[in-house]
Amino acid sequence: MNFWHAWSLTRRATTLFSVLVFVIMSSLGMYLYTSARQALEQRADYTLIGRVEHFRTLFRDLYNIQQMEAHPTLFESMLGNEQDVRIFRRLGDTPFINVNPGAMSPPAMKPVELGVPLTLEALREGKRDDGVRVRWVAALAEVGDHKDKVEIIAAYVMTQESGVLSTYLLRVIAAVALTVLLTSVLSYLILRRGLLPVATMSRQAGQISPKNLSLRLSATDMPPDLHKLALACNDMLDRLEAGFRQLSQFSSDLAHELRTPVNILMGQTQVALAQARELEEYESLLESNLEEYARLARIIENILFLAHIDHAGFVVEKEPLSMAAEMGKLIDYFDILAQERDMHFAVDVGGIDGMVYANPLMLQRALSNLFINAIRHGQAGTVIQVKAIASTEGVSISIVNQCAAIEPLQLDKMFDRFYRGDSARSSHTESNGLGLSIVKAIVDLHGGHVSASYNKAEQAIALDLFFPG
Amino acid sequence: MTILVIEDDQKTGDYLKKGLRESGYAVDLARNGIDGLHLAMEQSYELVILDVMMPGLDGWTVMQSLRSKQDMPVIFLTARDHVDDRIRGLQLGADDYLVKPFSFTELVLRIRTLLRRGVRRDADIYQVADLQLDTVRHKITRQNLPIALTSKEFMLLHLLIKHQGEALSRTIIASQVWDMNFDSDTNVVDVAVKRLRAKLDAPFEKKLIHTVRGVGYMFAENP
Repeated sequence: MNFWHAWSLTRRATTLFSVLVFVIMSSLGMYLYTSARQALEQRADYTLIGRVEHFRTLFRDLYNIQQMEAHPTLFESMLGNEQDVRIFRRLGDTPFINVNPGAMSPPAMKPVELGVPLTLEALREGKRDDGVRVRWVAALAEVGDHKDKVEIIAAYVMTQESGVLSTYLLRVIAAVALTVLLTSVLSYLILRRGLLPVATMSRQAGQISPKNLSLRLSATDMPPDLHKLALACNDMLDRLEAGFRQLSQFSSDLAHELRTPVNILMGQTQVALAQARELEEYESLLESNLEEYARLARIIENILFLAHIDHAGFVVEKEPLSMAAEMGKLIDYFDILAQERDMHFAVDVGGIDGMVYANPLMLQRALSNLFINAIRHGQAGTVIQVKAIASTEGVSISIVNQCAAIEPLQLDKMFDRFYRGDSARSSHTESNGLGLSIVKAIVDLHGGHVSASYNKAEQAIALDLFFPG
Repeated sequence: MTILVIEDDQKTGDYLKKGLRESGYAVDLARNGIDGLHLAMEQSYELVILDVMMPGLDGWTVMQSLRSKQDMPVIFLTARDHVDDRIRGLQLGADDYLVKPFSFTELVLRIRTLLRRGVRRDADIYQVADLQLDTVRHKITRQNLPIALTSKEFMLLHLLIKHQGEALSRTIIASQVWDMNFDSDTNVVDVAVKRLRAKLDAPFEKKLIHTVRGVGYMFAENP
């Protein structure tokens, strides 16, 4: 059915309609033709029976066979048309009247006995050489008072009827053909017009490209079923556009992010090379360059990490970890940093038994990023509260610390890549705006969720993570 | 101590050769996999540093051929950091695996570790200049004066003293002392070393902990 796949919807529907109409119309035609034929045959049968009964009555009232034999033409011309057969004979004798224009031989049949009325069952079916149907009947009749028995063999040749029927058949065929033709043409025209919105849609869709991603399919004047399709397509385009925007934004942020260290590297090296310097100056230049390279490497590493995580099919290897042990390790490490800002940690890990089901390196990385943020952006001299609550569903970790007011809009954007809460404050060397997006990516990868909220009364920001068990 | 470096990138190869020579190793450099494999088969090397992505004969193939004949330690260098690649490299018999960009200091440290693997045993008591560190009793004295250190400070000092004369990178220190196994973009190590210095070096004339610029820290009597 290869050609079927190549056909347009219009062509398929037209073909199906035509086939349907052909089947219905020909069935109807056949039914009408068959009933007409049956009606005509029945009429012919009754005519034949009527005739033979008429002969039987006629014979009984006649004097004798001799008289019939004497006037054969009288009987020959009696009733019926030219094609019909009338054969009268004494039993076992040659016929004395033999009208048989087609010279047909009667089929084998037993004559209907005297006194038995003729019925349709007594009739026999035959066919003339040219295919016209013939109805045969044989009956015995009494002639006058002599009780002579005469066998009547009669046949009705359906010449007229077959003429009528063949004309009728031709008309039926013509009607079917015409109807099918009309259906094909009309349904093709109607469908083409009906499917015009589809053509419009594909034309509109054809205009959408990365350069004009904001174009949408016009759903308003679409029929309801296509309306849904158009809306679904538009939704899809919305999602694609958002993703595309995000990607473009990400690329430009990335370029910007990389440009700064490269610029520093180029600039300070050029300045250093402009004239001869002391050895120490070269050394400190190289040291400074090394710091920038390390920063570049870290940005690349972070981006690669995000790219890996984004890659569909990335499977994270999880294992049960003791919340207390993991937290202890991290606090040990970051406590040194916190003390520099006169901050300290208040940890509540909900008992020793709290287990979190996670990848150890990723958990460490996510929590580290949060602690670094808390230490960097928190108010000096305050407490960083760390709370972990284990339940049957999983582990919620909450990190609360005092910091400058954050607008709700900023909270929403916090987990975006390259977002910086306050570009003036976060010094360039410290962060690259990827920390929280990595936290989110890690938590998402574990099937959990992150949220940020700001409590105005306490002037504290809370970052909540949830790792499912 | 001859090391074979197989690296197709001109600059990388050059600086590896230069850096390793200055670190006290004899270095042969092969610019492609075919030459590298040939050299490795013909001569005997203590260690091979092998780049993975090379035109012609790649690192995996070189590794396979190499392992069928020789049993020297091999360190893979690669820009690919998929876990799968790492597993593949180690399965092929590599002894270590460094992802580009890597720190040259770290490479040297790993080379040292590989070359002396299984030989060295930790001492119980270290004596450097006027400092004595007793790992069993967790006691540190300088000029016979006891110095009180927190447990992390003790671990840090122990690590530095165990590798005296070697520059240790911040990454390695963070990993060994605090079990932080990724570059966390913080100066925790610097702060910790600063505190250790305040207790250990500040009161005394002779300084034992030295900053190695652009690398990290080193414990040495005479830098």
